[in-house]
This record gives sequence, structure tokens and C-alpha cells, in this order.
Amino acid sequence: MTRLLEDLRKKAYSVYRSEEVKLLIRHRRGVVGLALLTIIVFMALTADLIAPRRFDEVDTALRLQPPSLKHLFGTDHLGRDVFSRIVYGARIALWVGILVVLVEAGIGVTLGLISGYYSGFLDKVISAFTDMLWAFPPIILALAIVTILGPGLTNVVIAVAVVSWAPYARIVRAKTQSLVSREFVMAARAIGESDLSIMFRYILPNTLVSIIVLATLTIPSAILYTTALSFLGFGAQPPTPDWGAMLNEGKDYIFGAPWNSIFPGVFITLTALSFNLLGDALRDVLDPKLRLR
Amino acid sequence: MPEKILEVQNLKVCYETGRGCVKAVDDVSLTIFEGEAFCLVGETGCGKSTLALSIPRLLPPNSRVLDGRILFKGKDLLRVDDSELQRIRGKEMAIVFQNPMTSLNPAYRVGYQVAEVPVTHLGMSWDKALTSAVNQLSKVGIPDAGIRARDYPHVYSGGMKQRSMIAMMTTCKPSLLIADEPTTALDVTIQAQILKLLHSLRVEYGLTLLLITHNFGIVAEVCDRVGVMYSGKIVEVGEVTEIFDNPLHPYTRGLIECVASRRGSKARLNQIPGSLPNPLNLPSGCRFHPRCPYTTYLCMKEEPTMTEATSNHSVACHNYKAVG
Amino acid sequence: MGLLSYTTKKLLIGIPVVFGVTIILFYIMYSLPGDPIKLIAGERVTPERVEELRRAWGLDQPPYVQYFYWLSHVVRGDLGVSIVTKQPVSYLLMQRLPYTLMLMLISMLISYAIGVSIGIVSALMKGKPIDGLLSVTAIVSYSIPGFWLGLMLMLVFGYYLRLLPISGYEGLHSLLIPALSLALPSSAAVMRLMRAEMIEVLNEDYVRTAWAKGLPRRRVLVVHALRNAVLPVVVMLFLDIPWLIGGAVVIETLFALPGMGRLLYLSIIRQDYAVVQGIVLIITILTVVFNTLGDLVVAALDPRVRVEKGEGM
Repeated sequence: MTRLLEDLRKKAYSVYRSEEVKLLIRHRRGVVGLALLTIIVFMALTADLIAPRRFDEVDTALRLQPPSLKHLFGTDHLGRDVFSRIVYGARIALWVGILVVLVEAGIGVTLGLISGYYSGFLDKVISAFTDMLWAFPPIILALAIVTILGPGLTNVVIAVAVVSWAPYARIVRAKTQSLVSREFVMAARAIGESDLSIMFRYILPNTLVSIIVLATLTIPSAILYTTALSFLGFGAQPPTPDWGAMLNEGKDYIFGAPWNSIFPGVFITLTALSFNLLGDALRDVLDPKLRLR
Repeated sequence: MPEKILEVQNLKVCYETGRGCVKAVDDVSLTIFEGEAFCLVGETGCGKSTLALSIPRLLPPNSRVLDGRILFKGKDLLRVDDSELQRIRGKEMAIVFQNPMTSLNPAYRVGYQVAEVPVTHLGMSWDKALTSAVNQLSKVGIPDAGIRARDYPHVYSGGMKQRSMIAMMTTCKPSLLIADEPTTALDVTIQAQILKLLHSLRVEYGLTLLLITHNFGIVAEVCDRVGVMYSGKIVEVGEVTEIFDNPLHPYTRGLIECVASRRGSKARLNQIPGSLPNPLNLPSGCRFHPRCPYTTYLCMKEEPTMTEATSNHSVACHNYKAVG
Repeated sequence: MGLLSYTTKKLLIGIPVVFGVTIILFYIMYSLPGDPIKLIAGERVTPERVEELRRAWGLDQPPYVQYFYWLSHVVRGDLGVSIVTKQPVSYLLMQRLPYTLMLMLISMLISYAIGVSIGIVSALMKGKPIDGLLSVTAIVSYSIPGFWLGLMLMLVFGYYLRLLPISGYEGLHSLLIPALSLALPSSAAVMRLMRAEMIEVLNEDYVRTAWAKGLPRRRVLVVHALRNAVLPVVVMLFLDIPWLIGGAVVIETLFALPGMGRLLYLSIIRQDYAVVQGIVLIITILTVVFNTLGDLVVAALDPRVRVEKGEGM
């Protein structure tokens, strides 16, 4: 009996299917996204090697130099090398994106599982809360939260995560509702598995594909929100080479030294783009019916 | 001899899939005469719906017509331009689909959807067209048509939706009506009513009917001639009495015995063992040979062609003499 | 169910949302670090004076008392007084709101005009190179941060080409670049939705029926397909409004526009409770109203909804 159950469970969530891997490889845009992402990850990992200077190395003699062979992307108002700062900034962007998604997925998935599994009052309350959050402009709530917590990158990560878990809750709730009546869940209940074990060992693995796709698709908005908050001055503080914060510092010199404003934005766009391309490909192949809004 | 109204010649249609283009209709030829009711019978997946949809060129975009001609009143529909095709569709040739539930546009009143046809084809004013739509709806048996014409489709029952489809498709009195499994999605009691409606319209308008069905039971009630399809091919064509009294293809024979046994006599289930072959991996020779009780060595080697057994009865079987 | 009772029901559902958001925000504001009294009175005042001011502004009361006090005034149309400028909040809002609404209106016009038309073209060209190109363009455009796009447009049109004002409000044309920066990322989302819906609808049986009736191509595509495909896009238009307000905060700040978004940003920095509370109230009400309007428009366009009344998540 347990053997059979184990088999049923495994069969229900075989995430890896060679057919789909083949389709993914053939998905041209997905491959482009992956390649872009690889470059950015490479930048982040080898920042100490490829950056010609430290991100906080100030040289007032070299203030606001235009791009040249020596300073590929020019220098900023403190004479720091923009290219080096961008390379180090890749670490921050990736970290922030992943961290936000981990936190928001944690909140959203848990609430989604609970409200999908226990229908009734609990579900109503959670759903109403999700709806409310969904309808409200996230950046404004995030601003409010950052104001309480005070400026700083960690606080921005928390603020953005706390306001944007709604899609996870909705999608996991819907999936859970459709899974609760499936035979392997019934069987698990019949042999006396606890609710907690059913939720996390039986249902959660079956929603994993959607969650992965959703995570890839929400990393870009996480990056865009956090950089927006940093741009407003609430996020990363100097001398952190956060791309949003660089734009904030650079905007005062935009007409005289536009390279300070151009390059960080280009890299935010490229990073968001790489995840969007990859996420679209994953969705097309793994979960075509998934919709973000 | 009546005029030929529709002539399908060597039609080949396939569907694009990840593993190449899969043939759904393979070298099918078919002639339909003015005024007759022709039934195309076969199992689900044998290609009969593909054949039906290919005539007014309504195949889904992932399909491809590889070869063949479809002559309607002498014009090759596969080669006429779009405006000509538009003029033919709904006016000279109409089609009723399998699923009435999804075939009407949910955003418009039924009367409006019927009225669109005479407005387009007869240049009628909207006022007149809406009145004629009400008439047409009451003709197909919608009660209180004057009021119900102002309803949206979602409040109609399945049977009423199919009646409205028929009303819509017959307002211009087309000469050919293709009915692609018009009763499959409906309750059994409604099925008979719809068939009766088609029959009475045929008599009244003198239209030619091409009825696609998987139900041999309704063939005898409605049709003059029958074509039997198997795995993308037509295997037997003939007059309905001929086919029923003297089926020459083992497959036809199996189908008829299915109906007969269902009608009471000592039930022999599974008259035809096995199922339709996979179109990606067709058997050699005759496609029916793995399921056929009369298989010979020749059947495995060579594909049979249509031969005329009698003047109004053709069959594609090497051993039809032994079967009959 | 009549349209009127449908509307009333939808609006009634919105009331707890308005309360919920304002209560949560009130507690957030209350627990903020820093003392607004110190901000207005300066550091060098006597504790007695601080106490006096605090009592005068009602800040010595527990938060729920403050909330009900605020609420009882809101019902009478009084949103309180800005602690910084000493002006009534409602006056400040009335002054600022038109700019924000105008900015949103222009940017929605741009984004839906672009998004809907390109989405349709892309759907009709599905699988062809043009479709691929348009889809890639869409993905790229919504990967661009709106504020950076604003910076770049400011640089090109305001500085290099000197076609449009760089910042501040000098007339409607000042809103063009800000509106564009808000519109482009959102137009990409509109385009993708429009394309997906149109492709789905074109595969529907009733569209095949329309072809089978021999209707002209235009009639099939516009009357039968587009009419149904545009519904979800209309819903998105209304649901997008809160997102746009969020974007407006960043964009108005960047372009120094005298709108509500910039006022919100400034008020958060200055800890001007009453103004933040007032703006959030307006935004929440706008959100609820537009959500309801969205439902109403759907009900008007889709005969099925009027009967079934879609509910839940």
C-alpha cells in the first residue's frame, strides 16, 4: 500500500520530462534569455577578477570622465569607474531579485496552500486579503513599509516581497483546489497522513512547476521595483553599487555625464529581459495556461 | 442521371504535428448528386470531419491540403479566390457543426446572428433581415420565435442552438448543406427531432445533404447513399439499401452488425476487434487488415483500390467477393 | 439581477477594502519612527511646547481614537490639515489630482492605442516574422524600468533635441514624456494580452461559424472575433489603474510634476501623516471605483455575466 502510494506520488510530480527539455532547447527566445542570464551571472561571480577597480575606489582627479578604453563606461562624480560598479552591481541585482522572490513565494505559497486546502472561513479571509493586496498599487505600499523600516537594501527587499506575493497565493490556491480531490491525495488521507504532510509532501510538489515558472516571471518585477525604490533614494545607500542607486546619483549629472545614467539602466533592462525571456519559454513549455494577471 | 453537385477528387489533407504532417484524409474521391442525401460514416478519428470541413475550406490553420480538387458546381473550391469563396459560403453551400454549444457567438442575439446571412448575401436591410430571421427560426421549430430571437445564445438549450444554427445556414436556401455530426452533442430524444428537421428542410428546399456521422443507426433513416470511411480512406460507397443488404467490405459489415446486435438480437459485442491504426504508423497493404477476419497475404502486401462491384456499389477490398 | 443592484453590490464589497487599507495605513503611519512635531517645530523647543503642539494636532490620543476622529471628519469631507504647509488636505489634493489624472489618461490612451492595435496585428500575423519581431519588442519594452526610460527620453527630447520641457509643468506638452515613460511598459502587457486573446478567439467555433456564413473578412474579424477578444483587455484597463498610480509616484517625482504622486513622495519624506492618509484614501477609492466600473463594462459587453455574476478570485 505505501509502496503504491509512493509510486503514485512520484508519478504525479515527475518534473523532469525529456520531451519538455527538448522543447526548451528548441525555444529560441528562451535560449537567448538563458545566454543573457549566463553572462550576467558570470559578471556577478567573477566581479573581483573582471572589474578593473573596486566599486568604491574614489579618485577625484578622474571625476565625470567620458567612456574611454581605460574607463569603458566612464567615471562618476566621485571618479569611480562605472564599468566596475556595474559589474559589482550584477551581484546585488541578482541577489535582490532572488531574495524577493524567495520571500514572496514563501508567503504566497503558504497562504495559497492553506486557503486552497481548507475551504471555508479561512479561505474566505485569505482570499479577501489577497484580493485587497492585488488591487492596491504595490509601489505605494512598499514605500510606506520602507518608511517604517527605514531606507536600506534589506528593507526594500522585505517591502517589495511583502506587497507582491498575491499571484503566488492565487495560483497555488487554484492548483491546490484542483488537487485536493485527486486520488493520490485521497489515498494519502485514507492511510492517515496529516494535513500538513499532505499539503507539503503531496500537493506542494505538484504545484512546483507553476511556482518555478512564476518565480522566473516575477524576478524582473522584483528587480524593477527594488531599483525604483533605490532610485527614489529609499533603497541601497552609497557607496553600494546598486544599479537603481547609481541612477539616483547619476541623474544629477545626466546632461553633462549621461553615461552615468545610461549604463545602469541598460543593465537593469538586460537582466529583467533575460528572466522574462527565460520565464516565457518555461511557461510555454511547462505551464502554458499560467497567467500572471 | 442527376447532375453532380460536388465532386471530391484525390483529396489529401494532413495536420502539422511535432513529428511531421499526419495524413487525416488520404486520396479520397467522392461524388454527390443534386438533391440526394449522402451519408459519410466512420469511427471517430477516421477523417470524416476533416473531409467535411475541407469542402468549404474551414480547416484549422495547422492543417494542409496536399493535393486534390473539390469541384462544387464545376468550380474548384481549393482554387477560387477569397471573395468567390465568401459568396459561396452561407449562400450556395452551408455547414452545420458538431458542437452547437460553442458554435454561436455569445455576444450577439440569436436573431441578429441569423439575420447577418441575408444581409450579407441578399443585400437585405437589417429590418427586413431581422423579420426574416424570426420566420426562419420559427420554421426550424423555435417556439415564440419573435421573442426568442432577441435572446442571447447562452439561454438556449443545446437542441435550440442547433436549430438556430440550421436556421442560420438555410436562410439563403443553399443547394448543399453539410452537417458534420449535427446530433452527436445532443440528447437522444433531440437527435431524432434534428434529423427530422433536416429531412423536412431537404424536402422543402430541395437541398442536397452531406451528413457526417459515426452512427450507422441514423444512416438508414436519412440517407440515399452511403460512403464508409476508414483511416482516412473511403472503403465502400453505395446506395443505402445495397450497403445494408449486401455490405461488401468487412469493415462495413462489422459496423452494420454492431447496429443490428444493438437492436436486440443476440448481442455480440466487439464486432470489430482492435481500434483505428495510428496514422503515423499505418499497417502495410490494406489499412484494415490487422482487424479483418478475411485477411490474406495480398491484403498485407498491396493496398486495394476502389472497384465497382455493381453499377451503384463500389468497394476497396481484395476479397469483397468472399465477404458479400 | 438588474444593473443597478449589481453595481450597488460591487460597491458594497469595496467598502471593507477602503476601511481595511486606511486602518492598516493608519497603524503604519502611527508606528513610524521620528516625531512629526519635531519636524515642524524644530529641535530647539521646550518639551512643554512640544506637548502643546501634540495636543493641538490630536497626536496625544491612542491610534484608534485618532482614526475615528479622522474618519468622522472624512465623512464630512474634511481630510484634515497638512502638518507641514498648514493647508487643508482636501485643498492640496484638489490642486494636485487633475495633473495626475491627466497624466494617467494620456498614458492610458497611448498604451492602449499602441497595445491593442499591435496586439491585433501580431495575432493576425501569428507565426510570421513580423509577429516574432513585435513579440520580442514587447518583451524588451516591459523589461525597461519606466523611470529610466523617462530619464532617457528627457535626455534625448529635452536636452539633445530640445523639443520638450525637461521637467516641471509648463502646459499639457510637459506631460508627454512622463506619459510615454508610463505607457510603454504597460503597452507591452496590453499587446501581449490582446494578442493572446485574439489568437484564442480566432480558434473559437463561433468564429468558424462566422466564416462558414460567408461573412466578409472585416466583419468576421471585427464584429465576431475582436468584440469577444477585447473583453479581457477592457478588464485589464480598469485593473491597471492602481498600477499606473504607483508608476505615477516615481515618474512625477522624476519630472517634478505638481501631481498627487509627487505630493505622496514628499509627504512620506516629511512624515506628513494627514496628507499621506488622504492620498491613500483617494487612491483606494479610485481603485474600488475603477474595479467596479471594469465589472460593469464587462457586464454591459458580455451578456453571459449579467446572469451568472462572476464572483470570487
